[in-house]
Amino acid sequence: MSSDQGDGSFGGDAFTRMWSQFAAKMMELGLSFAPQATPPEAAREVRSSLLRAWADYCDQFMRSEEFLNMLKQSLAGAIQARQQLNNFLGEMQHNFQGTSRQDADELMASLQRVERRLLDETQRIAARLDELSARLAKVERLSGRPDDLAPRPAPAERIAERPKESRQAKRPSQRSHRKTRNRNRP
Amino acid sequence: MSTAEYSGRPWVRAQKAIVDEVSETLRRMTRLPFLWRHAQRVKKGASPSEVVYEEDQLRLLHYLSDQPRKSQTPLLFVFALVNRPYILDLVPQRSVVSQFVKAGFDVYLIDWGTPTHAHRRLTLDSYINGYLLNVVDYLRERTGSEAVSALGYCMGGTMSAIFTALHPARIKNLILMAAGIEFGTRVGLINLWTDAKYFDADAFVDALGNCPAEFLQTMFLMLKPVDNLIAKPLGLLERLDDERFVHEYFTMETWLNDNVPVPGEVFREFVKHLYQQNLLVKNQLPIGRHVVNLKHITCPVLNLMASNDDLVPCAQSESFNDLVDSSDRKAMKVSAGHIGLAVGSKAHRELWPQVCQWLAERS
Repeated sequence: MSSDQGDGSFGGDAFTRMWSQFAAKMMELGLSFAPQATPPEAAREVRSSLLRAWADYCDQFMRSEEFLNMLKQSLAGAIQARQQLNNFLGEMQHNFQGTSRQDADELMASLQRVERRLLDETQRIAARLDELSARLAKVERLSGRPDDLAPRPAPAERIAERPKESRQAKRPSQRSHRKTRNRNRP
Repeated sequence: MSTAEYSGRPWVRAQKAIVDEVSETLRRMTRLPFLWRHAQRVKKGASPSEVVYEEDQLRLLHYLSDQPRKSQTPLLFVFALVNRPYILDLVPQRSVVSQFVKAGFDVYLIDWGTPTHAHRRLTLDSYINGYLLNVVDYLRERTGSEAVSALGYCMGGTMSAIFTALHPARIKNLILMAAGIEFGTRVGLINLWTDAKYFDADAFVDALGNCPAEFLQTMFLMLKPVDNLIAKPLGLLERLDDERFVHEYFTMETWLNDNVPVPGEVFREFVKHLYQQNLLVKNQLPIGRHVVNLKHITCPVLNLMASNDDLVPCAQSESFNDLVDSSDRKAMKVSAGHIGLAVGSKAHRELWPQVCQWLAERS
């Protein structure tokens, strides 16, 4: 069965094709029907063929322009209805001097922006500190003084030095701390 | 009448067969009221584990084993955000996790948890350069290993590939399982349905926030509506007296109906940047302040695909090996569906022992 994706029409022709294909499969089944097969077995074969034909038809229909446009329209309608509900509920909550979901969303967005700025700044400061430490260590090496402020070892060395501690699994009632990791570090 | 007498009278045999079939069907129907017991007995996750790390909703599970450890490099399973991860450890005899535990690996699995509306603004950057990076660094610290092996399934595979491209020094071996990489194909139905002409991801996320679990579940059901809504229930009715089949059926159905919502911004990025614009294969995918370049992946990669996969067709995964810069690349295909790759008996018989061997040689 050829795909209907390109020609944009999936109307009566497709139904005709589907049923004629089904009839052809039934004929094929009839020709290969074994006389010793019992009616329940024959019924199962017929059912299998019918479901296979139906599945093929559904797959083709769901790739058609008609279905895709139908999907688009139904989603657009559902989204619009939801948006109107959101607006109505938000307005109602504001009228009662309450906090709407949009307010909470905006607050979360603001918090995330602040978090991002803080993390970026922390990363810049950490990079600057590393640079300064490296320069200081270089100066001290050149002057022959102890290397107290050598830059922090690379992660592989750090892991080897630190004792292995298994992190305790927190009880569900305890909030886990979000680690202040620089998320933008490559 | 004896069988020999029946054989000479086809019409009598046919009638007997009908009567037998009807009585068998009625006998099976008597088991229907007791099906709820099977549903109640379903266990989520077969292998013993402990929670070793938590961050917000995320939990990191460590699988316990009496087997001597044969590999020092920990193996981290990264699952998708759309379902619960226990599909990888569904039943003891068909558990991917168990295969690796028995092979002597130190196995961990990320359970991303269930996001609430408060998490709607989490992005792929939050997950990849936040949660996943923290987990990997924790594993490196816990095990003393410089790098970990990662096995990503489905969307988790996409995320694992992105993570490896951004943090190549942290990943020793990368295994992808039915992972979507090339989204420009139109083989899969989801690629068609999410086309920018038909699906406005911005309006969807702006109105709904998180992508609802019910929406995802309906979408997955509609990939094969006849199989999922007719053939499967009929198959159950015909095998109601097979206790093992019924138990496995309910175990699978429990997982299939255990979808979780996807954070809104993650959904928006995944649909727009991957499904609609296909930026990953173009090495233009923005994650936070970085752009992902798959050429930065140089570790050994193993790309597992299922030839009958409707959710992530092979065409979406095949090109990965050509896009990375690894000298050690391998692809394996098994005749299974998307879920069959994890729980199919053929996959467990033929594929997973080979994967364990592949990883053991590189750990």
